[in-house]
Amino acid sequence: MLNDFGDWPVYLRREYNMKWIIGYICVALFGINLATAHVGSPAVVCDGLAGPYAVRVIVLPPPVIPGRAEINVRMLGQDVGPVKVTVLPVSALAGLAGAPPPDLAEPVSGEAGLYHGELWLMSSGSYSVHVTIAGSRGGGALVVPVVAAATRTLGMSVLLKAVLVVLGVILLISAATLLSLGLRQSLLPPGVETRGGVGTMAVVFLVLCASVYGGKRWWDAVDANYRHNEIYHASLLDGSLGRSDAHTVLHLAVGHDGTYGGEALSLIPDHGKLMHLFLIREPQLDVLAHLHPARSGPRSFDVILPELPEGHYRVYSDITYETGFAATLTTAIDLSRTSALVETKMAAPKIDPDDSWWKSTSETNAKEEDWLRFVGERRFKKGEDVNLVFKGTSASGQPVNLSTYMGMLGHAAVRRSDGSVFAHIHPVGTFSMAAEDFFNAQRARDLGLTPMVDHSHHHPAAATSEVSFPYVFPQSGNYRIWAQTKIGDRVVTGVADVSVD
Amino acid sequence: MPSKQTFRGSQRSRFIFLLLARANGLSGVIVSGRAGWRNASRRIMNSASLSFSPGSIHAKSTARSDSWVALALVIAATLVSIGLSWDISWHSTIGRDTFWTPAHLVIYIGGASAGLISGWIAIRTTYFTDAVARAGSVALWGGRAPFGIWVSIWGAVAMITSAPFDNWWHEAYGLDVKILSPPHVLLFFGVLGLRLGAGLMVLREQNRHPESRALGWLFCWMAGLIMSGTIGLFLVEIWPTRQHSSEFFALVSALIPFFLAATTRASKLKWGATIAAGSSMLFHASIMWILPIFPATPKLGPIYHPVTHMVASPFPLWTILPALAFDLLWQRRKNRDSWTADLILAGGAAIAFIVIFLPAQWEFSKFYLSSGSHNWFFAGDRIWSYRARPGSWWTSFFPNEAGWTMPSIIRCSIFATASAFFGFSSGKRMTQVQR
Repeated sequence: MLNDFGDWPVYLRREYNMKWIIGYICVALFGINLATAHVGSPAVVCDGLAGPYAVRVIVLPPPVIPGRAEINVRMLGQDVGPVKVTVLPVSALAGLAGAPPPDLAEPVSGEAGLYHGELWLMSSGSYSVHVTIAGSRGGGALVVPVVAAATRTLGMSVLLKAVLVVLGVILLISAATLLSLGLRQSLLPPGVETRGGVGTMAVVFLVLCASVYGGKRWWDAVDANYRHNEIYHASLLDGSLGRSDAHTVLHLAVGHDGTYGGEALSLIPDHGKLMHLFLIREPQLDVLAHLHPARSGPRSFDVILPELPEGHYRVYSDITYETGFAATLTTAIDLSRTSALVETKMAAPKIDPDDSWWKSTSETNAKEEDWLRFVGERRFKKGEDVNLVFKGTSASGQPVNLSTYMGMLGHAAVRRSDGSVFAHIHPVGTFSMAAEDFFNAQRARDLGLTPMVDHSHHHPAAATSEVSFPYVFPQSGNYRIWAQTKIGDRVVTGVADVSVD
Repeated sequence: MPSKQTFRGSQRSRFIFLLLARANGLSGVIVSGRAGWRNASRRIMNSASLSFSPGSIHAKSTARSDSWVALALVIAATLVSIGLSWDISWHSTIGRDTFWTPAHLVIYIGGASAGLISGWIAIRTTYFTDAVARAGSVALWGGRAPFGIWVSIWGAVAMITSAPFDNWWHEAYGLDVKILSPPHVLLFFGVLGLRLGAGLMVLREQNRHPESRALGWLFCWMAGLIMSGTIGLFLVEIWPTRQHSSEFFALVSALIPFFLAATTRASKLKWGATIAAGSSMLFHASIMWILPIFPATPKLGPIYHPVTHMVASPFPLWTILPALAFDLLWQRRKNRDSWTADLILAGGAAIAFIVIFLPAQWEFSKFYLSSGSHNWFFAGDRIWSYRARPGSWWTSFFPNEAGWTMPSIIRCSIFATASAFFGFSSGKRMTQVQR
């Protein structure tokens, strides 16, 4: 069985390639990780129903494991009166049987309907957070998938460094003095004074310094182990291009232990697809393709690329392991001179009917992005949960109703201009739908209920022209958002540039 | 040299001395009950009438008052030890670690009281006492205090330093899951400083009053605490399932003989090492008996072992057995004071340690992993944390290299001899601690 981490620790011990080095520098410089479930976007937002209560749950996982996650539960809609909200993190490996008693989330003063709690995530891996609400309308529960993984290296502030150095020097010198002069004096009868002993003190001081140096070496070893084995690094993804049946085929291999072969990936499908792939042309961000590669080997996938303009593309691949652990693997490809690619004998994969792509300049008169327009202010604050709303509009400017695309009213990709943040989100939240299914089934099993896959909350209750995506921007900067939905049978993509303070 | 006292000064000294003498009688009551009070009072009055010279009275008065300091530091160090054992149990049972857990509070109270007492004694000795008292102290950076007080202050500063370091460590590498980490080692050295400080103060008092059995017992108590506290740092390495390994053999051979040899030599009691090891075993066994009485459940997951009561540490190592041998060896030594005599003695002690302790612990650990230890007395079924997945590894030894191999025994012999030799040498120095 695959472990929770897509075999991430092992290859790093053997292979220090450029991807890792760039990732390492980004972590060191900006405290951000290029490779988690999403990229640099740790907050989990979930809009759903806990029995009769509509709620938004926001989980901010800790940057280091074991650690404490913050959880906010916001009651949506009408005032439902006082309710009791409990929160419980459940490890995928231990289930409810291995879960501690739930904690009460406390109401936040000054914010009606908002409840706050803490989640102790003690081991790296896949978790579900069970949010239970009881009130005058009855009770209900909502399951939110959360990935617990160390994503940060922490430097020491100048002040703390100074305090520790000063105290350390005092301790060192005083220890040397006590172990030499002090000890010597203590053995003498009262009143007898000693002179000298500075040489002994110097020797003791040097020995102590050597001990401190040994301690520092130990610390370095702990730190190196943390960086290489504890911090989460998504599996390597290798992208290569080929030609098959007159198509350009992207071949993707998922790394394992420094190679691209070995044990088969154990994945669970999300909206019926094992992999959701996003290609974004850099640095213009003017082309986006949302594709669904087909499995071609134990750890490899193939997909036919549409006719995309030449250029450098960043590749984001969303997968969910069988433990409910969602990961985004990244790589880059260069789509220049694809005609010169060598034709392979392998059969081209089938084109997935749900594949879609967008170019900023449409060949038609009306720009595609005008059909799905961003609504509202384009300035946001980092760390706040917001709704990114898009509205379907006809050529005459009239609202048009939207249809579901792969079982959801919409899919959106959010990317910071520099690529340090990427998230694939949905109207119900930022989590993996496959993980949600997995954890709902696990909860049902643990409670002795019949597992049922209920996607009713993924669809709007009535026809609507608007689609809204809940999200928390993790850092300030300029972002581009691509929202995809269907108008009629056609997939349309709306684009918006927003800034975050 | 002690300065000359004025007549007025000596009168004041005698008055203070009589007051303090009563206080010392109280300490006797604490240790030995009502009879102790009468005996202590009688001893003190006798000593007062026998040594009526200004200098000696004053020296006595300072010494008597410092017995209280020694007792207070021992209590503080004991509190810290209780707090640490409780904290380990807290981590294994409840799991949630905050600044204000009861176990942490006990550690803070112990550490703070030791630090405050020591700080006050340093200030008092430096500024508010006479030349005679100062002569019985150690000078450091312009200040004066008994050596144990300085060590205790150092320990308190090290503990304080470890706090922000440990806090940063949690934020950088995660909440506590390991006992051994650099900030914990600094904390350990801080606690060791407190323990050594208390031990040195007791030594000073014991050496000044060799007739006091109470001080003799207090020293043994403290020696046992220091020994078990040091061994406790290696809780994972000495876990019952590891007690057949050569690593365990090497570790205990390097540590235990030192403490036993030093204690038997420095103690004024005939069975010093035995009392130290016995009291230490009783102390930790008491904690082991008391903690599982209290119901508690984990507040963290994943829970693989749903404990219902506070988890205990394993039954203490049988250090009392080699301690008896060390005491007997010391009692039967030839009165030759040389390093060669110490080395021969250390060799004998090492053989006794290997022949007595290692087989005894080997057999005991076999028993301990069996169902025979599943009772309140041995608590063999109460030592596993909520995080431990139940399985055959609870009742079987780690597949390490076994202890009873020739290379392992040779290594143990070398370690134990060196450890005992260093212990006997240190013990000799310890008998000389006077201030």
